[in-house]
Amino acid sequence: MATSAVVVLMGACVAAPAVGYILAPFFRRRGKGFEAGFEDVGAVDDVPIGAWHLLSLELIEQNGWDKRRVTQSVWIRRRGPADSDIDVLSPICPHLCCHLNWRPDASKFICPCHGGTFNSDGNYLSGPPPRSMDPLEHRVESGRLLVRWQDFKNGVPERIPVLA
Amino acid sequence: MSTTPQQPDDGGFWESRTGWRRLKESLLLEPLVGGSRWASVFGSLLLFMFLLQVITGILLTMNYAPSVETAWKSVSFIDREVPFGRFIRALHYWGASAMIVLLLVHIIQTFVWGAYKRPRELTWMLGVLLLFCTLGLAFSGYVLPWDEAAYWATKVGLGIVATVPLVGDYLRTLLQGGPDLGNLTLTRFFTLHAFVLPIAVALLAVVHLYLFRLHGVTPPWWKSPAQLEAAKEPFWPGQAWKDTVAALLLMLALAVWCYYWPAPLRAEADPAKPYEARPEWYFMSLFQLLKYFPSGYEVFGTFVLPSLFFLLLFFWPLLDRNPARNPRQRPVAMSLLTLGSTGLVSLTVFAITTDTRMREPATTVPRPPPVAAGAHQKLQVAKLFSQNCAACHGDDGTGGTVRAGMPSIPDFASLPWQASHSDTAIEHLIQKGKPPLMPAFGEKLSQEQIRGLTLFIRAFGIPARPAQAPAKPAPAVDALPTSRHDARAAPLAVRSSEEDARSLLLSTK
Repeated sequence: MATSAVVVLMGACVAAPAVGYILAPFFRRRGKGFEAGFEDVGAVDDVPIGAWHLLSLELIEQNGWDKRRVTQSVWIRRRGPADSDIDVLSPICPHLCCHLNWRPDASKFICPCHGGTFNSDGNYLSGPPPRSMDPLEHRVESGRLLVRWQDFKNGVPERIPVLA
Repeated sequence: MSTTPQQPDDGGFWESRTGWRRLKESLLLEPLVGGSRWASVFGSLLLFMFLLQVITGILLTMNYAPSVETAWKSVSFIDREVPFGRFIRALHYWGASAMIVLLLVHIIQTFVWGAYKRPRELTWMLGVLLLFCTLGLAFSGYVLPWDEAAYWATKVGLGIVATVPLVGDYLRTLLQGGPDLGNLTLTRFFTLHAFVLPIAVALLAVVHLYLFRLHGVTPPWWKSPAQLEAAKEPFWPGQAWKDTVAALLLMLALAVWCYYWPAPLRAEADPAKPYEARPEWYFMSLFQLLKYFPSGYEVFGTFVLPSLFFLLLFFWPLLDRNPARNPRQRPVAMSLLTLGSTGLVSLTVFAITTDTRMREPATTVPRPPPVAAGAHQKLQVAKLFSQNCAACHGDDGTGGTVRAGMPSIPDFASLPWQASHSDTAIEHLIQKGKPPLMPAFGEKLSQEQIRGLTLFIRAFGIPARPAQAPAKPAPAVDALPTSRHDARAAPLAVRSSEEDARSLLLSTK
């Protein structure tokens, strides 16, 4: 009986720190995963008016000990010449995070994995995705388009930002 | 009185000190009811495949470095530069597929045989856990090369994990390690793939084997106890021979396969680049399942049905109370098996045959209009070179592959060679040939074609460097990266022709 107690105690001495160690991602100390600021994607005038264009932005991502520049792409459309006529959508499918493609031939966004489709405004049309495509915050400053990258929780109808 | 103590005959030096003979006998002389059979080799084959995966895995770990910066480069290094690296990685990659095929055969056979029935329920349940661990190994190993396929498949895989009710988000964070797929994901998956899961498989397999030995092999249901007793023979040598021969055949088949089909390695992962994520063939049925659940019911495809399937499989020996082992007397079990395997197979086949890929990612970033081709560009010099010259001089112009047999073959990438040959000299060599080995092409090719080939050969002298927009002025030669040769050693004459060749190349792009 006493021996079992000692063994349990010994096990706990190893298990408790081990569990804490494994759960490290829940106790991140280095703050935000990426600096969620507005990042430059390019000059507004370089984007032709009309169709969707895939542009990219760089953000600095803090991943534990590792801080690096990560490139993400965003779908951008100018409906007109005004700065307010710009749509920016995240290319990440709200179903299971595949990269959505704009198909000009079908005038749809199509998920290349599980076949979800969205119309030319990014609204849900068909397939498994639970909601429409996620718009991203953006603004224009001295002719440059700035976009704020954001991940959203996949697989749910509500648009819940994933706090990085 | 004798001083030498009398030693009893204890079997010799090693036996008396280690007991190895007794160990060997207890391991190998297990009596098999009903005798040895080819049909019973699959368990041993799985053990063999697991050992092969461990060995090739350890070898790969010698050169693999799990980080975002190094993973892809180290795998590419294994493929391209390490002797037998491509083969070892192919063995490991296809070995996973082979293991899954063998697992399916083993499970179906055990099911049909009724070998999960009393008293072998726990052997079956451990087997299902082993299946689960093997699939976990396949999933966690897929991300390690950090190519596009790995990145997007794992992003989707973690997306699936996140849909698990209640704990999904926590589970994803735990596996992902950080805010997004990155270094912490790689190190976590590497730990799972190289330590946690293989150790789990080893422990489970030991208990699985122990239980198998405890209850003995499941005898054929169609034979009487007297027949079985008469055919009884030990594991060694009959079954051992059959197992070994089967393992050898499997190894040979796998080696041939791996020689012709190396493991794929796509471009390095880039989150900004669209890619069509696809799982390996053994997850294609799950992949197809996901397409059938409309908005709001995704969790049935990602979690509910797969979990029900595994729970049913795991607890099946407790659910099936029918004591009969003859398949004819087990209509429910047999129809479930037929239904389940037909479902899985047809989902997989349907997924693979109906899978439509986009020919290229539909990015709509505007492209520059094609430049009207000039006379030399229309010659398709690259094609001319590969048809006429590449056989000896190689696609890279170094002639490296035939140098052993043709020591005099020049290295076009060598700046000293480029410096010591004028354009006229190169044209002359192509036209007239150089006995004994270099044939004359004067009859075969036109003057323009020879001139084009000369420029093409000049281009080999340009050190490899990233593509640059033609609008920018070409940098000075001294500033170029000199990966192959030191440009500083090149005389001025080369620089001018090198500049010519470069501007020609840039204008053709």
